[in-house]
Amino acid sequence: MQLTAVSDSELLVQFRNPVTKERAFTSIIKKYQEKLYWHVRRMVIDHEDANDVLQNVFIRVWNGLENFREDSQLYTWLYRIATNETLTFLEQQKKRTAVSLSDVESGLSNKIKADRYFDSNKLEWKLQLAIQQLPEKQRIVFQLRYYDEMPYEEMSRVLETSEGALKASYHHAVKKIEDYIKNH
Amino acid sequence: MAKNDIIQELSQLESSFSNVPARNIYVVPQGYFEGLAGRVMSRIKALDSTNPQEELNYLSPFLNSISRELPFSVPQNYFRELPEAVMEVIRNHEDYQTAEEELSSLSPMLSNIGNKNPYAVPEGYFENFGKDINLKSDNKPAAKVVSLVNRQWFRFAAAAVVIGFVALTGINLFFNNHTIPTSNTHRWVEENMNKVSTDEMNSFIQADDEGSKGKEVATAGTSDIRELMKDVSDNDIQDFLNKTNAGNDESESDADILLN
Repeated sequence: MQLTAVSDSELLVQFRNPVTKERAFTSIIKKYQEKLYWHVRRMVIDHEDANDVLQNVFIRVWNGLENFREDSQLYTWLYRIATNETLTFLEQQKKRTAVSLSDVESGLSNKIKADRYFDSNKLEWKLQLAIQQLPEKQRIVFQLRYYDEMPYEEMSRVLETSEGALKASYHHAVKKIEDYIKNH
Repeated sequence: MAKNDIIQELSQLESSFSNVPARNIYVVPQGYFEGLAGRVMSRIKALDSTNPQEELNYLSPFLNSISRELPFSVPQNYFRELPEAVMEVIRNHEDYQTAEEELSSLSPMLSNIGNKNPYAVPEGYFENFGKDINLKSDNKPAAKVVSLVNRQWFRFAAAAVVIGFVALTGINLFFNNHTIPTSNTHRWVEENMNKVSTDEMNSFIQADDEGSKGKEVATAGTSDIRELMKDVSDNDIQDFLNKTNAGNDESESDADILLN
């Protein structure tokens, strides 16, 4: 049975049946793991951190899926959990090291530079450094739109922000990134 | 209000601002106004665009032209192994199963039966339950609660058991410490008999002889004996005497052991 062939609503029905619950959940993980992983990874940079956050995301999903109301899409709901879990992780990291958010951002930039494949001459690495200069929320908006090409309507449900504010945020983010890359 | 009027007003108020030239101190980026109209139009088109790529093309043709491929890497087989790794964490989590799921996995049969209570109560039982209690408590005095532990006889019985136990243990210990060693019985007798004087020994033998000859019995009244013995047959008396003699013989043999 192909994963793409099974709809979210069918997986949810299977999840609610104790006999097929675990199999359905494994299918949900397989279906969304890469999208969610990269969403988290782009925010926390380090693979180990991304792995920790992602596992916590799926544990939360396991505990909450029983009560998930199908008036919103599963995909949107998963992104919301992943985003909140990532922001919580970054907040905890900030508290643990007792530093300001800008220090965390420069810490993330240092993590990028510490990557064994990092090459400051390559545009894709410059882009990653440019993204880290953005404020946290703007960074999420940019990444959801630029990499995941998420419609504003969905993004609005994920981030619980108006579509207009998201469009403005994306516009500012694009301009800042363009400027950074041109000047570095 | 005209600009001159404002300056005049400031002069009347003797404000130092009246001498400050009204000049803009702020600056804009070079070429800002030249490109503003184009940028606004790009933004409007971006807002109306139907897909993210078209939108980005209006906002930043440069960003739209570069690769979106991420430069990060993941460990080999990470995504293949992730579902099982997550399930392993979930299985070890305390909230892994609800009570219903736990029962379903342990015993599908019991799970199918369900946990519905099969017992029934009389109609209106719970509705009237409180009323019944109130009624009973109004009419009847509360029953006295008697504690078994508080009863006096119970305390005495407990004390007697403890005293009895202590006494029995003491007696047992006392006799255990004064037993005659069986293996050296003859030696023990010899040692102790050496301490006894000849006169004491003679008086003991004499007393024993007198007892065995039935002098105590002779002192009793003859009429009483006849009254007591009237229902006893001669054969029974003969048996008794035979047994008594045998008993005396045994006593003599014991005395032999003691004296030898």
